[in-house]
This record gives sequence, C-alpha cells and structure tokens, in this order.
Amino acid sequence: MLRVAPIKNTLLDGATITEQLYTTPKDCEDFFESLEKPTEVKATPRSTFIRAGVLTTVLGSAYMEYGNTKVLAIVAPPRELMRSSARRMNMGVLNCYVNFAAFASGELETVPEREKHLGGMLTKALEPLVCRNEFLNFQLDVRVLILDDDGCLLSTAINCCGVALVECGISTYDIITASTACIYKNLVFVNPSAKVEELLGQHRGADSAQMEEHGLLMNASMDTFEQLAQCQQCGYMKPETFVKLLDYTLEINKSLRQLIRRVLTDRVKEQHVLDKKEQEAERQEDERLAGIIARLKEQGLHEFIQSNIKEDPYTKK
Amino acid sequence: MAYVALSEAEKTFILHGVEEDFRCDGRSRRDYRPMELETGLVSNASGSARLRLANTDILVGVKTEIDVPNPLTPEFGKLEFFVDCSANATPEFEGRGGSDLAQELILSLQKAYESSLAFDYRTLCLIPGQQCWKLYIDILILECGGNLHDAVSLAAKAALYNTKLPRVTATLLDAGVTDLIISDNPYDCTRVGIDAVPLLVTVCKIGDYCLVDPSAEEEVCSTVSMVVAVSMRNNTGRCGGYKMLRPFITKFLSTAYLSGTHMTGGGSMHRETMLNCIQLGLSIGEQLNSLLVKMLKAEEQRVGPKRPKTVGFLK
Amino acid sequence: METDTTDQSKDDILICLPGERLCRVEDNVVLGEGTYEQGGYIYASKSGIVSIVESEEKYQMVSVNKPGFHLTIPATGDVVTARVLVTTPKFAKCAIFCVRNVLLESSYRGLLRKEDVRETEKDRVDIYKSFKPGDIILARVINQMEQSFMLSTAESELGVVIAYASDARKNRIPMVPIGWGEMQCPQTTIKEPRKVAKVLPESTIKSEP
Repeated sequence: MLRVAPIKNTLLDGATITEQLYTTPKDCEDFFESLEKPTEVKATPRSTFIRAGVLTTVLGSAYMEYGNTKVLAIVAPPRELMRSSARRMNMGVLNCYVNFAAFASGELETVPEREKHLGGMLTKALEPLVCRNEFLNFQLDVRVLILDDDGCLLSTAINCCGVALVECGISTYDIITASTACIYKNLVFVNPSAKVEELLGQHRGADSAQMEEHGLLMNASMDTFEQLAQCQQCGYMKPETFVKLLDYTLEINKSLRQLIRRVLTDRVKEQHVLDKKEQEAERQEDERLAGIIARLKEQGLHEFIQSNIKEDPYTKK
Repeated sequence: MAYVALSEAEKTFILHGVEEDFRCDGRSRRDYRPMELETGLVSNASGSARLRLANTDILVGVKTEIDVPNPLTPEFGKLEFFVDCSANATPEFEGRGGSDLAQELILSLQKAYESSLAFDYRTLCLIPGQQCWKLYIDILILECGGNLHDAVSLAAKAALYNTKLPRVTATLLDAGVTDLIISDNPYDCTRVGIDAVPLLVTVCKIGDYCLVDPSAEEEVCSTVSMVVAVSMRNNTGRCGGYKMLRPFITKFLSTAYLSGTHMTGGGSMHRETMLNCIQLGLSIGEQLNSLLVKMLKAEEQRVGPKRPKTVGFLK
Repeated sequence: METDTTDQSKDDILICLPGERLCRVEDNVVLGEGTYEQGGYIYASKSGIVSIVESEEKYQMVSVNKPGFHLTIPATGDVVTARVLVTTPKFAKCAIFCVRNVLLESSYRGLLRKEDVRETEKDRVDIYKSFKPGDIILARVINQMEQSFMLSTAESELGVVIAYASDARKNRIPMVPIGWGEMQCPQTTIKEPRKVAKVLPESTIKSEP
C-alpha cells in the first residue's frame, strides 16, 4: 500500500520536513510501539453514520462515515450495454468505479492502482447481491467517491453501495454488510485504521526463523441465507487464524446489519410520509384541472378537437 | 474467463457428473488434468517455463534488472507481474477484451506474492539499501482452456525455479560508491529460492460440490469459485497447533499457509462451504507443490544445465 | 428469521427490506413487483411497503411498493413516449424518455422499423411521410434487442403527438392534426404528412397488446 518516495521537502534554510510517519524500518518499529494496541478483541463496528438519498440530483445515493473513513456512493439507473461482447449468460452487467477525492489520501502515486483494484473487488462483492436477471441487456454503474481514507475502505464502500442500491430501487436479494479485521505481530486489529493497514503493507517478516503471521481479511456477508458475498484475504496466515478473523468480521457484520436495517426502515417511513403529502397535492391539482375541463366542455372545445380527427382507414376494425 | 456457450442440457450433464464424482473427462472432483511442464525454453529470458494443462497453455518468461530498493525495505528486491491475454487465446480477448482478466490474474499473483514470507525478497538483494534485483515475470496466455489461476501460478513458480541470476560482486570505489561486477560466466549464477512460493488453487463450486481444476465448460456451470493461494513453509518456528485441517504430515514437515484468498464468479457461498473450499484448496495445493518441486528437480537432473536443441517447442 | 423488524407503524403499513421473508409460496399466491422466490418462500427484493392485492379468481398478488422514487425500465408491451432522432428509409431512431406516465431518468434507445409503423399495407409505408426528426411519438415496446428497444406504432392511438412544421424557424407552434395522415401548422397553414396518433385519455388504452 504505502510506497515512500525518497524526496523530502527542503526548506529555504536547508532544514527538511519528512512527510512520512516513518522512512526507515526502525521508524516502522517505533511507530508500531507508539501505537495504541488493543488489549482484547471487541468485535464491534466503529461509530457509524449512514444516510440514504443524500444527493438530490441522483436518485440512488448514500453517504457513510465509518469512524474517519468517509465514502459516498451513487447508483445510476441501468442503461443499455455499451459493448455487446460484454453480454454473457443471461445476466445484467455490473460495473463499479471507485474514485479517490484528491485530498482523500496522502499517497498520490498508488491512487490509480488502488482505484482499479477497489473497483474490481467491489464489483465482485456486489455481483451476488443484485438480482442481475432483472437487468438483461443492461449495465448498472455504481460509482464510489472516497472522501477520506482511514482504513476499512473496501468494506465501507460495500456497505455504502448496498444502501445506495436499495435506495435506488434496484432489486437485491438481501442486505449486504462488510467489515475488515487484520492480524499484525500476533495482535488482532478489528476495523484497522489506515496506519495499521500501511504497517501491514510494510511487513518485513522480522527474521525468517520466527514465523510471524500478518494479514488482512475483508468479509462481506448477506445474513438472510447466511451467505458470504466476498471474502478476501491477503498477507500470510494459518488457516485457523483465517477462521478466527472470519468470525470476528461476521460478528461485526451482524451489528452493522441492524444499523443499516434501521436506517433503511426509517428512510421508507420518511418517503412514505412524503408520498402521502404529494398524493394529497396531486389530488387537489386534479380537482382543479377537472374543474377547468368541465368549463371547457361547456364551451364546446371538446367537440372541436374530436371533429378534427378522422378515423384511420388503415387500422383494422 | 473465456466464455463457452453451453445449453441447459449440457450444463445438467456436467452437474450430474460432478454429483456422481465422475466428471466429463473421467476425473474425480479432486483430480487435475494432465500437465506438461518444460523450463528454460526462452533464450532471451533469465528463466522461463511453459505449462500445458490440457487445453490451457501458458508461457512465462522472467527478466531481470538492477534497481534501487524501497527505502522502507532496504534488504528486499522487487517483483513485477505482467499478464498478456493475447487475442490468439480466444477471439474474445481481441482489443481490450482480455484486460479485465489479465488485471485479475495480476492482482491475484501480486496478493499471493506480497508477503515476504511467501516469497523471500532477501535473495534478490545485492547491496542493502542501494542495489537489488527486480524481476519482471511476464506471463503469456497462449490458449485458454479453463483454470487459468492455477496454471499461471504453477508456470510462474517453475519459471522462478528456472531463473538464474548472474553472480554479482561489488567493489568499493572511492567516496563510498560501490560498483557492481557481473560475472561473465553464464554458468556462474545464483538461484531464486522457491520453497515458500505460493501456488493458486481454484476451488470451483458446482451444484453442492466443490472441485478443483475446472475445465472451461465447468467454469461456465459454476456459480462461484474460491481462489486459494497456498504457500508451504518449513516448520522451523513455533507453530504446532495446526493439526485440525492438515490431512497428513508430509516428509519435510512443512505446513500450508494461506497467502491470499478471494472469491470470484459472481455467486456467494455459506461459511461452512467456504471453509471446506479452503481446506480442499490447502490439501490440493500441498500435493501440487510437492509434485511440482519433484518434477522440476527431475527435469533438471535429466536435462542438465544445457538444453538439447529442440525444434518447435509448442509441438 | 428476522421478523421483529417488520414494524407496524401507526398507519398500519407493513415495511419490509430486501431479503425479508414475506410468505410461503402457495398455489393462489402470485409474485408481484419487488419480490423473488427462494426455497418455497417469497422474499422481498426492495425496500418498501408490502401490499397484498386480491385480484379476480381468488389470486393474491404479493408485491413491495417502494415509496419515493420508483425505478422504471421500459418493458415489452409498455406504451412509451419517444422523440424521433434520425429517420432513414428503413427505420426511425428514437429516444425513449417516458414510460406510461413515468418520466425516465435517462433516455433509452428505441428503434421503429418501417414494418411497424402501421397495421395494414405495411409495404406502402414511407418513413419520411410518417415521421420527421424532432417529432414526439407514442409507441408500444414490442421487443428488447441488444442495443435498443423495438417500437411499434401500429395502432390508431399510437403515432405522432407533437410535431412542428419543417420551416417554422422562430415561433415554434405545434401543428394541429387534420386527419390520420396529415398535420397542419396553424400559422403558416402548411400541411405535412405524419402518422398521426388519435390521442385518447389514458384509461381507454388497452394495457396489453
């Protein structure tokens, strides 16, 4: 993840400012030492804020804050397939695009690569969720904008997209929730922050005689049928560690699911009230128009229009 | 994946075959198709391998270059993957058609090789903090017959085994500048350690069963598959608790580790199914790894450092 | 199963979310919009309000109605409003912007072949005597092709609704239909051929072809 450019900002007086938290392996260790370490694993989500329908111009939008990670997702209505060669099987095509805001990440060099990678993984995670058989010959574009990156990016993006899809009225088989957990120097971090994720990318396996597990696991689940939509692991770990991390993430997913359900239910209620108001306004408008039409009829305009249209002789009777 | 058009009847036939543990080509669910492996056929590369897994044909070349190591990992070398899905593999790959698949393969390999425990980047170091080897692993897909992940990783490992880095000696010049002298003798070279290099095993779920090495037709029938990167490591450290999943103890007492997994194929699976998939992937990966190493050693002994002149390596 | 979250709010409405189990599949239960079937049960695939409609012959239609924005895609059989973009001797290309009475978010491509302009004497149809680019037409979706929807105006109620005379440059006044095949500009009194739709109130149009 993190790649340090060997350039330092030189001030006029010759002093330098190092932008990175650490530039040498020693700094890496020091940083880890200074890090607050979890004493016990609490499989709970970070403080979360989700709101569906944040944008007025796009119909399916959602915004999510997961701790300091901030993500905005947009779902556009399905449109015709661009490439007919992309049509495979009897399924619609799902495309996910991830973009970092210019200020989202301190690292600019790796951004295009990460955007591509996240987009690919997001597509894979959402494919089992969407009822793609309803969008034959269509493609569905999901766009994600990352406003702030503080770890758990992929899982936050999945959660946010799940809400945006439901908000847009795209048929989905279930509600999707995702979370991340990682292991570094025999410590389990749930919902790792960007700093921990960076450390993980820098892992050097201290001395090879001593086997040290490290790695990250991202798991997206759909609980109605207890299915895992995506489970991605990287790093180096024993299978039982994998299972351990998997169960932590599943537990977090459960609590996130409760939250997302509440948000979506509230949203339905909110819209229902709005709909009722609109219907009332429409009814009044209809009444007004009916009055006008009745008046026009008295004046005989109806007959005028009718007399102008003759029957189409080519239409079968 | 390359797309094969199948009718519902054909799909049902494959599905029933899988249920009976007797697949279309007579294999059981845990069997691989026959493999042909050759190393050292490309003269312009430092190492190369060609793998033919039934209809899947992969050619891998490893090129070397001297680079500056990353300041955070001064004693590490570098590795870069490139996958070319050429249009002659399937017409579908024409233009940019294969780029998505190539991207996926590159990412899976990068993830699997990312950890320094999976690939010993220290062997690529020349002068810590100053000079290191950078290996470019170029993978060319000649024919696409299913199970690309596995084939690509097998071929990459074989090519790495075949890679010979010229011996480099450093001399200290004035003002602390080091100069590298690369040995002229083509046989004076070092090898890349491949003991822990991971293999990707695709476990494919068809119906209610999991199988390995799906053919192109079987891939179409599958709703979801799991790519498991298996790395074998000698049990020198302090890990002994790993008994539950290991089906048998190998001669070298090496243990299988996961160095990257992900799901692909657009479907989802249950937690237990996934754990079964991983378990199957691990045990298959373990066997595959020991077989591959055995075959590579056997080939080297038989052929020796000099390759006999052959005409037409694709045969 | 999570049934606890289906709240009964004060309006006595049943709110459901995707993946929620609604009821068992039975002979007299029909799946409506926003639902899917899995393992003998009907589940919701959208968030919204559950509605069970008793239709004739004792069938019950279970569907989920999403309040607020409703996603609409043209389907076979729908009457759509489209704008003619290009005409060629064989077909007219259109942009569908309205399905039934729902305005679409983005327009979809439609294709109206010469054979589908009217019901009889199909071989004597000339596209340029029926449509001009810029016309607003009513049409029925007859098929969904890979890249576009196939449209048809082979009904007297379907065809051109709003059209402007070709030379009306400044003051755009729509032409008035003066017959099933002609329209006239009220200002310049120029007559132009069109496949005119006999516009009727929506309620009288058959819902199925």
